[in-house]
Amino acid sequence: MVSKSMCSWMVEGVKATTGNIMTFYKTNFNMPVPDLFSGCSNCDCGFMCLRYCDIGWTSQGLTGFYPGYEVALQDTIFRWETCGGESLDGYTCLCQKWCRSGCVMGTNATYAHIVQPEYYWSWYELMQNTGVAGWEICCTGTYCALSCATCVSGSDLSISACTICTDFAAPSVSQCSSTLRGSIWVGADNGLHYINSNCWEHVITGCDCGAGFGSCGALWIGTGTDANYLFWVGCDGHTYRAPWKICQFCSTFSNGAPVNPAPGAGYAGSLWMDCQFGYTHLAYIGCDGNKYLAGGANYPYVAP
Amino acid sequence: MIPVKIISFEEALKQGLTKVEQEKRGLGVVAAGCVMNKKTGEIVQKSIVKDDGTHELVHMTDERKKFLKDAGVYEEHLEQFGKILGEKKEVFFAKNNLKLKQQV
Repeated sequence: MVSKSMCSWMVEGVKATTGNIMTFYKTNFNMPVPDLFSGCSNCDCGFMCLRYCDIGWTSQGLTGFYPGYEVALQDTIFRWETCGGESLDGYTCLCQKWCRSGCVMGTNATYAHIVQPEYYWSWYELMQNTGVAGWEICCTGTYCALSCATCVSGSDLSISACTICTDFAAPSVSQCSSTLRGSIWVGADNGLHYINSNCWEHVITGCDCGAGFGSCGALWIGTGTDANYLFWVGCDGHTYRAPWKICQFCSTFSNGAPVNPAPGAGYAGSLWMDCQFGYTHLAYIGCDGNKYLAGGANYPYVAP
Repeated sequence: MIPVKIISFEEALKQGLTKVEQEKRGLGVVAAGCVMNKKTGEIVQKSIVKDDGTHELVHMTDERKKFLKDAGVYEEHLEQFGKILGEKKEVFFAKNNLKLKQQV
């Protein structure tokens, strides 16, 4: 009897065997994802050496979350093992789904042709994330991540569905008027507020750099040791620095960003509200002429 | 310090500061798979799956290639495999694997 099995997780982030980390929990929508699948792999752990904070079968208050923040990653490994005298040759559809109250809010599926003689392993690893939005985690309730392999033709490669559920207490996903999209201002809390392209208000809480210069609302890009960071003057007269920035790179995940266009230092200082990919981060040209991203949610490239 | 000039997304596109992504972006990788010989522990095949459904072969041993050829699988494509193995990466499956199955 051919052995078929599946492992599935609902996690906050992963560390690939390449060493690359991607955190989805409490980060901006659709930030570029580093290469997660090019490293070594084994049938037990797939391509990941760490999976951070398994939140399956828990309750998550989502404190401090705003719509436009990612919440969790569904990560599934499908496996087929042959022993003496066994072989496989068939097509299967590998599928992941995020569901709420029986309604599917996200699907990731791929076909695989599994061909193996006796004494072999085959495995596939799939990933799909979800976040707070009217079309994903939109209200308080139970959300489930389903994984299954169905037989398409040839050998029976089907693997019974695995379901992981978690209760999320979602923040409001109400959107403001589209006429406000792209508005940027410094609030009484000294944070840099903006209305993103999905018409949600996000706030970048800055690092207090002490008494500054210029008037409240002044906005600039740092140079020297602060190169390419976003700065502003708060209502208290202090200078604030955005806690993180990332130079645009080519994402390896679905709907990811392209390689950095690097338009050149002549464009340094140009800043706009992203209206592609995540629709939730600011984009600007740094002093080195590269395109940078900054946002109100957490930095995605460290462990959660 | 460099003063910020706030511009619209459309203006950023017009100036070439960002790109129209749907056409020009590289396809995302949404999955990957391996085949391993249990006796030797050797990974004999590895492929990644792009978000348009194509599979990209990134590794295949000669032993695996011979097995697939002897099994009559991918026979029509083995010559192409050879080319692919000599290069870095290249999409080798049809967009829909089922279609490939019919071709074989």
